[in-house]
This record gives sequence, structure tokens and C-alpha cells, in this order.
Amino acid sequence: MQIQDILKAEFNHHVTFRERRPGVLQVIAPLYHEDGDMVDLFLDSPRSPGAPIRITDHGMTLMRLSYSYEIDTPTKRKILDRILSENGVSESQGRLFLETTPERIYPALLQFAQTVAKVSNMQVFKREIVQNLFYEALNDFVASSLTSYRPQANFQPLPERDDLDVDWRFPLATRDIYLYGVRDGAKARLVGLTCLEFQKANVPFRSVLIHEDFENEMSKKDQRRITNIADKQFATLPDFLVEAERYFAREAATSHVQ
Amino acid sequence: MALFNDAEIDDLISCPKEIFEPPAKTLKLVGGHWRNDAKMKAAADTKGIFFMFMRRNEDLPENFSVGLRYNANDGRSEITLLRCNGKHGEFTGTGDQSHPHWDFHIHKATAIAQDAGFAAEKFAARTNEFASYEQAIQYFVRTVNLSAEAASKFFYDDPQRNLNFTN
Repeated sequence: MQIQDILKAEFNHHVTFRERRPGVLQVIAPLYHEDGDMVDLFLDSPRSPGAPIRITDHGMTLMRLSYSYEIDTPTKRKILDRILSENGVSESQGRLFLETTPERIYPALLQFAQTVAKVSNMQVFKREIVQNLFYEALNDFVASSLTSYRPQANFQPLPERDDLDVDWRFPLATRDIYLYGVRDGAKARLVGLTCLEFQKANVPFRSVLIHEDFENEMSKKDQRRITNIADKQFATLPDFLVEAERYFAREAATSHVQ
Repeated sequence: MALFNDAEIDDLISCPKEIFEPPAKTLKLVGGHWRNDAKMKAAADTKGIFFMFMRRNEDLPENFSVGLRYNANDGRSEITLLRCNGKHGEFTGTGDQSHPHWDFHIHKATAIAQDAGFAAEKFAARTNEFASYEQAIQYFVRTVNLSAEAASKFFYDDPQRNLNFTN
């Protein structure tokens, strides 16, 4: 029995095929992405008799994901690799694939389509799975876009107090900027206490807090407390990403970089 | 309840725009696809950032998408307003899965899709506005009302591509 006949029988004839290139057959099956586009499924002919059939997306899954989400950090890459390995799917130069035999073509195709759906939804469940994406994204941005302000990570202004850290220090002429990423109430309280200690020790600095989600991730009490202590806050990371360069340029203009 | 109503979506797509982060001169190959990106802002009062993305599959270059994402920067989620697609596979057109089409097509965000809990740009319609990646770029540039200066500077429309077909 031909592969196409097996799939037609399994899909109850709700499937068809298009030859996209010699040896590359697109499977037109009732499997859709959330935006109505069909899941991109291709069968690459075996390169030699008896060789496995390759089910592949020809790079379409990661291309589609990149419309609104980038695999641009080690953590995101790790999540992608985990989804693929847990589902028995491989990746080579952006193309997902699964090799199988004619007898197992139907379950393998469904398994592959399911994996494509999981990868496509990475942007949706990032919050549930990845605790530190926020810090990673903030750190990436500081390390790539604010380098001219000479950021120093994990700075300790008081040598005798190694329990009081600053996420990022930016040395400006009159007073440093101490920048913190704040994901939740616990971090906000720690930052608040740390800033109060620095103030007590007369450290000249200006605190800048970047919240992951100021309105939804902290209690009203935490919001009030940290607002009373912080010099400047950005309610979300996107807010900071948009304003950061202008903000630092303004700060630097009034306080020449040392 | 839709985060963006249809009138707002139309305004966001058609409001005059300027580029503040230009695209690269050529597409870059990343993984299995060619890509380019640009950032735009509205020329007038509309706040937020518009993201233009251009993607083209390496193995099957007729699979492409040129789209516009918008971040209102006001707490609402980012939304994909528009996507101009090649003939990459069948799509469900009006949402009726019993009538899929195989054609160049345009996804556009709608309130009804958001209300139903779908991706905002779930619904699509076939189009005769373009038949190639290059033509899709030109259609996109006109549709999102990019300034003439930016359009000619970053997305020059080579007249040699424009064949007049009468059939």
C-alpha cells in the first residue's frame, strides 16, 4: 500500500496531497493553526529504497513563530529543544523533522503536527514555563543596547555589605544609576530594603526599577511601598525598551559619563 | 471582549507612518527562512510602535508573509493587524473550514475573531493584489500608508517588475 493510500484511509479521505517540488509532497490535512492557516506538513521521499520517510515542515514552523516571537535567548532555545526532544522531533537548520516508516506514517504525522502546535504556542505559555525570561530579556537588552553607559552587573556599593546587590550599575558623573529588574512583590521588597540601606549610608545614586508587570504582579501594598522608595519606575519591560535610550540620554546629558 | 475594535484596527492599519528603525538592505538567512524587520511609528497622534516583518521560506520561497504587528504600549496585548501571505497551503478563508482555499491571501485582525477567543488575525481573504513576495511588499507599503519618502528609500518598487496583464 502506498503512503498516500495509507493516509487517505486513516484520515477517512479528508486528506489530499500536492507535489511542491520533485520528491516533496505537501499533506493537505484538516489541521490548522490558530490563525486559520494550515499546519505545514511535508513528506520528503526516501533518498534510497528502504530509507525512512521524512515528515518535515521545511522551516515553516520557526518562520511562523518569528512573526511575533524570537528564539533569541538560551532559555528559549532550551524550551524549544525540550519540546522537540519530548516529542521525538529533530531540528536541523531551522527545519523540524521526524523520520518514520510507511507503517507508522499516520501516528507519526499526528505526533509531528502536535509538536508543531506546541512550538507555535511557545509565545503563549512562556509565562507559565519560564520564570526567568523577564530577567534574561532585560539583561540581554542592557548588555546589547546600553553598553555606551558602561553597565556593571551585580555591583555591591558597600564593601562591608555583600548582601546588598545592584542588578546593574551605570556610572554617571554626579550620581550612579542603579537599575533593578522586578518580577514580583518579593523582589520589590528586597529592592526597597536595599535602596533604603544605600540611602542610610549616603550612597549617591538614583534607583530605576523595571517591572515585569507593575499592575498585575504585585499587591497594592507592595506597589505603594516601592513607589515611595524608587526614584524612577517603568511599569513593564516593553515600556522600558521603548524609553530606555531616551531616558539614559537625558540622564547622561545632565550628568556627563565619567 | 475585543481589545481592538474594527474601526480602531482600520485606523491603525491605514494611519500615515514613518520608519524609525529601518529594514536591512537585504534579507538575512536565519535557520530555514529569509527575514527582515523594520519599526514604524504613526506620523500623527497614534501612540505605540508598529513592527513590520518580512519572512520568506528558504526551501519554498513562494511561502512568504509580510505583516504588521502593533504594540499600543498601554497594557493591551500586542496584536497582529495584517499579514500578506503567499500560497503556502490551504487556509480557512472566512473561518468556514469546509471551504478552504489555496491562494495568495491576506489575514486581517477583526473584533469578531478576538471576541471568539481566536488569534485576532484568524480570518483571511484571498487576494488578487499580489502574486509574488516583491508585489506583496509594495501592496503592504501602500496599505499601511508608509510615507512616500520612506517607501521609495527602503522599499523601492522596480518598474521592471510591474507587468501589465490584461487577462
